Amino acid sequence: MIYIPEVFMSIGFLIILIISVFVKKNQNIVLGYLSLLLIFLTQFFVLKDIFLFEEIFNNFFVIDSFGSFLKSVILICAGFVIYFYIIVKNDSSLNRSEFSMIILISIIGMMLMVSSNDLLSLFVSIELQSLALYILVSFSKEDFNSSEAGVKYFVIGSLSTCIFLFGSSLIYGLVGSTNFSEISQFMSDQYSVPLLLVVGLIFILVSLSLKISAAPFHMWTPDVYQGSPSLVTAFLSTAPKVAVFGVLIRVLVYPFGEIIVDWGKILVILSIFSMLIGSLGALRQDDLKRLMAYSTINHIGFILMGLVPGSEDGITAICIYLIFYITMNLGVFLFILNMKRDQLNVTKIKDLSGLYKTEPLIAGCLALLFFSMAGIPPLAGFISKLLILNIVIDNNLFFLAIIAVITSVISAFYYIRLVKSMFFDSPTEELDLLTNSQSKLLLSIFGLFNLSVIFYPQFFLNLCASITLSLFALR
Amino acid sequence: MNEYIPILIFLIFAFLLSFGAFFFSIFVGKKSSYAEKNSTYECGFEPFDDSRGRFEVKFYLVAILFIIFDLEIIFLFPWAVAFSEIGLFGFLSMMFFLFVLTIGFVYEWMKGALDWS
Repeated sequence: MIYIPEVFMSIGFLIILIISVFVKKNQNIVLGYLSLLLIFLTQFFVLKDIFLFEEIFNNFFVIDSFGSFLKSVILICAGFVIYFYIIVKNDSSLNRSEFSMIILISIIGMMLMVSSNDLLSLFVSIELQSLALYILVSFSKEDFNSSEAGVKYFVIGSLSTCIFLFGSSLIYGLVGSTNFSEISQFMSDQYSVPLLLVVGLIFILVSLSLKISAAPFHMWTPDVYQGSPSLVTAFLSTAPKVAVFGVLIRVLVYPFGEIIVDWGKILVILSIFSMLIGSLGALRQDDLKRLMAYSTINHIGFILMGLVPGSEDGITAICIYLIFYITMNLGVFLFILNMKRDQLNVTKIKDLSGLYKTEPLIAGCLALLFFSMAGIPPLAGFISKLLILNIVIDNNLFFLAIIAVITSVISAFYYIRLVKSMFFDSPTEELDLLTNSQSKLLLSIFGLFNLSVIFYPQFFLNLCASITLSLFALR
Repeated sequence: MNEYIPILIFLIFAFLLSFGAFFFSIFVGKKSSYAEKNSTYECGFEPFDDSRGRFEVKFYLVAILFIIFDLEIIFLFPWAVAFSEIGLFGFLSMMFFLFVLTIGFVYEWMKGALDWS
């Protein structure tokens, strides 16, 4: 019963913590490899039980394929980020043994998040995840921007915590239980759902939108993305988003599935705002990390759109979108990590100019990733956007589909501007780029993956459809 | 709903009373101010120095480490009281909890967080 991957990972983490004290030379690299090993072993644990369904710890957590699938995606993200940490030469402020261990703590929190089946256990695991992320964001102690980003993220995060607690207290007051199955039971017994329950759900939705930075709760995102170390930004824009989307889907579909009329409208508004702000805000940015923040907001809007009908194929499309989004984002951030001039990190867009002349392979892969983000066929981003739009049109939400298409045309403009400056502008000063061949190889793999998905989309469709099935088997 | 009405009445009354006292003293009370009255008052003395003094960051570290063991005590007391009823499972659970805390303690010790200099 208690042999769940989270328990395994926590014990493994404690062992690594003890080992870390006795490692004297190259602490961060050794611990990075140990954490990578632990992530591999946990991945094995997760995949072994992927078809298991079980309610554990007095129904506080539930193990199902949906949760296990998201756990495995989160572990892959974290594994890549730690691998980047090992292969790329970092600032000295990141070279401390704690870095990979704090990533481990936060993914323990995220794994508990996607499998929690109770508002209380959900709250505790969200806190575990966020506390680790606050530390990561402000990890470069000497860097003023990093500390500023840390404070901002902390303030916004605690606000989100308060709102979440208030919402769950309202729900507890009405239902008399915090358990998802009992809330679901209460909803189906009720003739008309009390208004206060909807208010409680809105509070929880607001809190989770703050975490996934859906507009109009996105204000912290550009500052935090720009201020924190690039490696942390790579982590921040992938793994927590997956985890919070898992929570969002589980909360909305399972206990609150009955009042889809109420939360459907809220999600429509959230996704319209996110797509508009994500595409318009990025137009005048000159910093690549800031631009990526707006691009994240835009993608979040797109993903939220798939949840509006609350149907099975919508959630399948979301899962596929999340997988592709992660590969694109990790690829771009791997490049940003390697953008250096005279050993210093640079992140301006004009530093990209003329990249094609010096590094044709890298420029090609990067162009593939940007095109994929813009949703240009036949790349992976196109497939995921197509699936989501398909769902939206099937449910007769035409205005939403029109807004989505218009905003994705606008966002295509700034992605293509990046590609243009890489290929056609004359280089200003050369970057000292990609000295290690591993980054080059990994970047090409990300690019090739995005290019080749068109040949086997059925694999992802079948995988995600069978995963989503488990979520609906509960009801 | 009926059982909440006393609370509502209480809230209204508390609101009226506190605001009444506040505004009544503003409008009715006699005002006279002079230099002595406006100066800082600290137990009858002249204030010694600024109360926002700085102290070393090491104190924070000790305070944070203290909180962990403080919480441990909070868990240990009810555990000890209920010990005769919870049996072996309760004993082992607490031992595991203490073991995890001990690992944290060993970590901070080896990292030198407890050395003052």
